[in-house]
Amino acid sequence: MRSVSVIGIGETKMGKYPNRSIREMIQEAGGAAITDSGVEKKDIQAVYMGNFDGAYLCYQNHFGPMVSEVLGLGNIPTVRTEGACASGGLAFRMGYLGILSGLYDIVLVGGVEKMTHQPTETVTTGVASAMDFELEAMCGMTFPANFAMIAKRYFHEYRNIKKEMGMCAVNAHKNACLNPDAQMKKEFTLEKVLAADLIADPLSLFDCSLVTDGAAFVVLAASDIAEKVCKHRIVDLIGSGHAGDALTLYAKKKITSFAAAKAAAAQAYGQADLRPADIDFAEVHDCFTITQIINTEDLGFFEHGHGADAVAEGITARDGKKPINVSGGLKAKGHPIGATGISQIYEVVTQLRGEAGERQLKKADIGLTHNLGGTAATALVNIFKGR
Amino acid sequence: MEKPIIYSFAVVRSSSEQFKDKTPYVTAILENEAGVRFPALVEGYTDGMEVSIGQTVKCQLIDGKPSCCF
Repeated sequence: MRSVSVIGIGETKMGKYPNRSIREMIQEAGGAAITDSGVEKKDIQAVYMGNFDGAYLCYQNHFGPMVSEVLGLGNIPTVRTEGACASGGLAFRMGYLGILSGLYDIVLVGGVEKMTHQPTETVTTGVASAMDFELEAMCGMTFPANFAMIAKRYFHEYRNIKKEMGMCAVNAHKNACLNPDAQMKKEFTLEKVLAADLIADPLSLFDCSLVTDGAAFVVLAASDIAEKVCKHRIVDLIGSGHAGDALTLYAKKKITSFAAAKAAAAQAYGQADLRPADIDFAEVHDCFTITQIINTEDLGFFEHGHGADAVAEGITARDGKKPINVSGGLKAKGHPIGATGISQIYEVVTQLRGEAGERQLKKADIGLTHNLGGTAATALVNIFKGR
Repeated sequence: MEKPIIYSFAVVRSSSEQFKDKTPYVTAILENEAGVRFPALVEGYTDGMEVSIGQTVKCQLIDGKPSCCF
């Protein structure tokens, strides 16, 4: 089988940029990724672009040709992918398959979302389209509500981990302080986090990820080409998994563990011939703090019901044995929905290259990304290795 | 489906546009005697009320859709 490598990365700062246009963000992040890759624009053969809610929040669809126009890529084919919060992860997966098939040698993969210009209720409504609108949203369900139900059930099946969920938020904000691209570079005490207003009990403000504007891009190449052009440490994609589940939360057999993520992880570990213990660090989809804890269990880092213990013991902190979300994660780096899956890959590649500055991990040779869409209805897991 | 139990629930305080006049309210996954789960907004929640997993609520079908309350 063909081997695929990441040769270029670029992203905008994540944050509240109501006056930045989608085009501007694509120009900045996409242009940076191409420059970083060392290939010419004419060498890029296809574009895969993730976006989730452009039509609702910005009256904009058809992101593929926007990318090729803004970046001056000519008449190459473009595809827009949508899989809720995994839209970016899906774009990456499609780009990977495009090279794997032999059809392309070099592709550009990206994601963008513009959200903060809309009021919170509009964003909540728009995001709710990632669940079943008629069956769930029309029962008053929102994403915080769905993950609150997951947390309540987790408390019922295992134990109350509200305090450890708060520790996830404290860690995320601490990590974000070292990331120049993070949206919320501010530390918070556990007391302040635990005392915050409830959004959907037991989730309070600090259990929820951010509403973010931003874009992220990567350039992928067949590994034999990467060896010729890449100016950085070559980062190979050694395992990739993609799986799905029921759209609705109530139709899932179990809601305290995500079957799609477990299946995607099994594929990625199998392809890479690695075990969870071999992973140096991971960027996981912490749309809510409870989700981060469940994700680290689904990835096999910790036993089911014990993810919170690992947080309390400091294992998931930046200086711990299994650093989780050293970027700050969706919680504090930000969650520009369609760009999030690519933003996670940006962080892993940056760490594997040893270019993460103040937040650089000492041991960064094998990194993993975990991107969820909707109420864990779409899952993508990738394992990267630096040569 | 008359007296399903709560499989899990959330007290929603920040809602979408369509439900902002109802906050705080309880949205839940309910489970009937046959073990079939379904989503519902459980009417009649007020702050200070005890709600727990396993608790029974009352449901009836109205126009083919479950209408549920505490």
